[in-house]
Amino acid sequence: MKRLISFIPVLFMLFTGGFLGADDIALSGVDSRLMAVTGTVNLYAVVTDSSGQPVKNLTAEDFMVRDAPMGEALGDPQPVVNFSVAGERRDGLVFMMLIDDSGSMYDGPDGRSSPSPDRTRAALARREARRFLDELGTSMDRAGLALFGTRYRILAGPRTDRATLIERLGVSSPPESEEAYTELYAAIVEAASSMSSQKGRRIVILFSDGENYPYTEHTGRSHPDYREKNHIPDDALKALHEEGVTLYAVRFGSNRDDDLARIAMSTGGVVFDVDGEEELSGLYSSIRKRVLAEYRLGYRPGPTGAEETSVMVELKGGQSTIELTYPSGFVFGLPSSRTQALLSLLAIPFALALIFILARIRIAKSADAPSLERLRPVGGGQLTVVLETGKTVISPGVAGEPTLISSEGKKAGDGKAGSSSTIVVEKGKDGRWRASSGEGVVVNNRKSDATVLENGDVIRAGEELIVFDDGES
Amino acid sequence: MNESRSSLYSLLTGLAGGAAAWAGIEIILWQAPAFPDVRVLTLSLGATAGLLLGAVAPMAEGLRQNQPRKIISGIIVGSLTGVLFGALGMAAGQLILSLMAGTAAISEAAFARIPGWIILGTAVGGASGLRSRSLRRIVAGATGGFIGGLIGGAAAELLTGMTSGIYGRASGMLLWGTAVAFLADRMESRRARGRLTVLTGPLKGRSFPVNQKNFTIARSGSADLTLLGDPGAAATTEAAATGAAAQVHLKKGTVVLEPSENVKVEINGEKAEATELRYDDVIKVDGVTLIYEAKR
Repeated sequence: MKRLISFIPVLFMLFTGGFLGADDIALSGVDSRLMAVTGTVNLYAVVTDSSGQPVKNLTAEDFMVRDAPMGEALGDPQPVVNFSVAGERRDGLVFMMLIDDSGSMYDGPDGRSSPSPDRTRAALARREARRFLDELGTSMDRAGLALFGTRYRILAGPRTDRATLIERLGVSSPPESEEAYTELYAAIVEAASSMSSQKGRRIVILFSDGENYPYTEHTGRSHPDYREKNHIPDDALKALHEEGVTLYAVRFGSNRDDDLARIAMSTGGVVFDVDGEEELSGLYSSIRKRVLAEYRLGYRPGPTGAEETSVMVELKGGQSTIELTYPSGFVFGLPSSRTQALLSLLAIPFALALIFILARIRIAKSADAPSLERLRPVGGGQLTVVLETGKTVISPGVAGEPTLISSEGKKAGDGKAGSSSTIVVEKGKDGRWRASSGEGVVVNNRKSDATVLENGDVIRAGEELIVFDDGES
Repeated sequence: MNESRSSLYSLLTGLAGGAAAWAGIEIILWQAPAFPDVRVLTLSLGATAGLLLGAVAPMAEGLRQNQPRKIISGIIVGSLTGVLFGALGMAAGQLILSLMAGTAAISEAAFARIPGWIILGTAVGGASGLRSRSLRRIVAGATGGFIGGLIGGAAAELLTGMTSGIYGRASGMLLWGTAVAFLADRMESRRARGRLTVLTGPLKGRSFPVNQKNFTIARSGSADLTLLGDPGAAATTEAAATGAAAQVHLKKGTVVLEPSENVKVEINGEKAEATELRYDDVIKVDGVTLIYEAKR
């Protein structure tokens, strides 16, 4: 994801009525999305000459990359392992044209009110958008279109179908007073979010003639979409960063939003201050040309494990640089220190001790003497009863009560010992144990009046099962 | 052995596996700068976590049955599958982290790590089923591993945020290993059609979920249920001693017990041939008594 987080603005070109700047290299984006798969991070950089024109025909050998965990001094130069020019890429660019549709956009270019409908700022913005769409021609580039005033309205998502876009640009008309506010930062948030599903290099081109003028703040009423939320510049910046979108902004007229420049430059974009129609003409196309002139430089970062890594590109010869950052953390977090690593070795004997304990556990032990054991006990009561010489009586529990096992003569619960449902277990003269009952006894799911018991035989006693253990096996 | 006591094995082997995996992870992260690139490091981290948890957690089955051979085979198969799926799971997790961290604010980036834990947990949990070549067990294990990975990963991130990195990672790895092994085991048990509980012999009290298409009962240490103890006068034959005494098959919603040739198997006191098992059937096979408890 292209992340454009930190920036050294002094090095960046700021445009007033066109590209003005020094011979320079500007990093406009970082893409670390596939680092785990490819091992490389892609950097996007534009090189401009002293007149601000993109410098072409450079090669990978002309660039060097330095990086370091954020906050640390940059390391040694690293080679560029992948290299291409944006204009040569097949995936195309993705533009979202975001046009201010607030009330002031229906003034004339000079700010005077009531111009002819085709001379409003809104009309100029649409005209430039149409021209841009015409110039996109049959390229693979996708363009989308959105308007904003009080609310954000997407007219068309990014697509290659130019005719639909031009049709949806339509004819502009002044908004009602409730729709005439300028939710500038909220609109940038919306535009960035609307591009989240788009692949490739993504750019928002914003056209606005004023400052952020939020609805809730100026009316005291709840916004129809954002309720009490008052968007601030950092909301817009965060959304652009999150989506890896670069913002190019056109500030038309003299009433300019000061934070817009910071937002645009922090994303690797540029702000254009435009006063008239002539300056506007062809501006969108020049933005595209600038993006198409970007070099994509892939380098292979070392696994520092830092949450974020700062990166800088240099042109050989020591030109000025810009530093950006990208996320570089591991799933398991930050690297260990030596102490931590050694400390963790204590976990090995701990693990071995657990295994040793498990190996020594004996969950159940066969009885040394003949016994009866309740397999699925209901309620409380004794679980295992050693069989004595005389009779042992099993009194099945009823209605959820536990089955009781006791020697004859001892009370076996509620005087049921002598009832026909009780089961008597006793040793015969032949030395074998037998189970019997007046109603018949069920042993191993077979009913009989009396059964000779073998080791492991299962006696049914009401809801419970009783297992016979001969104490010998 | 009731289920809670049976679960003790998966809980403690998971804890042991998580502890071992934590040590391995810390050593690798200590040496992280020595790795040539992120890919190699990622694969190494995943392979190590998978190897150690994969080797230790499957020991539960062998330990439950007191079968050294089963413990060793668990270690070998668990290690191999753990290495493979751990590396793949980690690579996928790291990829998701890269994708999500790029679209998440820094404050939310911690949660972007959780899918990595989940994928690794799913991979290791599923690997336990792979050993038995049973799709049911793979799915059950993977499901348990998924939930365990989610719990462990969330705990690790939460604890890392509350404490310094090493304590968060340590507690997270312990919880992750425990949760993955325990929940994979529980899921395998929940998805079982029933269970066989041993009523006699050294394994008395131990339960075995019938959760795979073909479940082998034999004296061999490699069987799904190893028969231990003196067979006595029961029909111990060469077949029973060397091969499967009986097979339990899952067939179209039924559980069928199929004795091997020349092996005497009784169900409810009668000599059995291929028989559909019903609730509380008492099975005597090669001198060992089992009870089948179908899942209700």
